[in-house]
Amino acid sequence: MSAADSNPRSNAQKVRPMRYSIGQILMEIEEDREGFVSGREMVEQDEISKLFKRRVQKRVRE
Amino acid sequence: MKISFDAISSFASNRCMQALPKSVLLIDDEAHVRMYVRLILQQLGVNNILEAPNCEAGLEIFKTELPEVVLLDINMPGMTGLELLPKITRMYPETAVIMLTGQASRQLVETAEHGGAVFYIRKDLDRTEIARLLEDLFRQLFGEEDE
Repeated sequence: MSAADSNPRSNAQKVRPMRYSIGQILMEIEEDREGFVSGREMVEQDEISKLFKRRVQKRVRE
Repeated sequence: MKISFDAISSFASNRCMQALPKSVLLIDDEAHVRMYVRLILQQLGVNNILEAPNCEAGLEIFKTELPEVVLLDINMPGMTGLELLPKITRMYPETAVIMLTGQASRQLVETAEHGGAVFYIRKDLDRTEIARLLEDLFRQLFGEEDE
């Protein structure tokens, strides 16, 4: 480790401020959450069958 | 790997096999899945089974063959099944599109339902269960009214 690395003032000078938009960050978090839920949460087949039952019945009547 | 379909065969042989679509188009990018589903359909008694490895090829086959049923995967390279679904239902509403996919989030299921899919089957189900669902559906869609 060099002397410059151990000097806090020197290190502080190396750090460049990064500007984030809080709105952008929140939007990304929200997208991540949605992606996680939609990617992992599987609807049970019984529930799917119930959801499509009306569509099948309607089609049969037609 | 040898797959035994005895259970399906026995299941199918005990049922009336008249209620079947004349042709089924199977669109899935995974060859082993197409083979797997083809075997299920054959055991159910479906004779005319068409296959496509992606939605673009599937759409071309669909336009020329106009199958009564399309079994459609969702997650495929290029056009997804959910993009192809409304194209088919708008072009030829008589065709019954059944989603057959490993993904079943509420959002996907509802999108497929709104897009005109007649049914949605999870690919991770046991093969006898997939066969039972398909047979029930075929009987409702293609069976006699007094059945």
